[in-house]
Amino acid sequence: MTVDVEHTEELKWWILGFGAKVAVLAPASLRDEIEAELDAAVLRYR
Amino acid sequence: MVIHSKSGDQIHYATTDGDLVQEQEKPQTRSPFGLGGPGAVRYLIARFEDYDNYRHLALHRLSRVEILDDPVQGMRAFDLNSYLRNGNMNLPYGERISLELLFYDQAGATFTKPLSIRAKSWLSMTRGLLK
Repeated sequence: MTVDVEHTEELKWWILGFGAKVAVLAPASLRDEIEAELDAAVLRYR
Repeated sequence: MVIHSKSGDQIHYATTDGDLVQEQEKPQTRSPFGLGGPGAVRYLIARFEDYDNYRHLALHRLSRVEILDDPVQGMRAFDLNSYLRNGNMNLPYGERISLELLFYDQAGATFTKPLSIRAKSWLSMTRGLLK
């Protein structure tokens, strides 16, 4: 799915709400942001 | 206009360590500058008496409000648009992106054609927020 949206924190949390069931393909900056957030979450369990 | 808000004993604030702290009974004088919020909760942008920084007060936490005759100090210098544009309330006042998502396990099924009400609602929301 590709949509034109505003880049907000709310958007980030919406994507994170899907957990492992979604991957951000673009833009790379948001992909990196989501990856960093998920990495940090995984560390909470180690 | 100045807002006096007096919190009742039902209002508690959670500290970062998870302890609950009851707000003081003493009424506080706050000067309102604007109203906004990224979601369902609306926040009053205000200054506490004798402080220069802006705070965001959740409206539902104000238990009683009394409007005074005293004028708000510094209102002319406050620019709500600039305040929001600087990201102070996390509103989408910035970059538009072309977002490309890959869904797994049917998680994105509601976003395939024809667009569901839910998808339309979300797209409408994200596109409509302060264009």
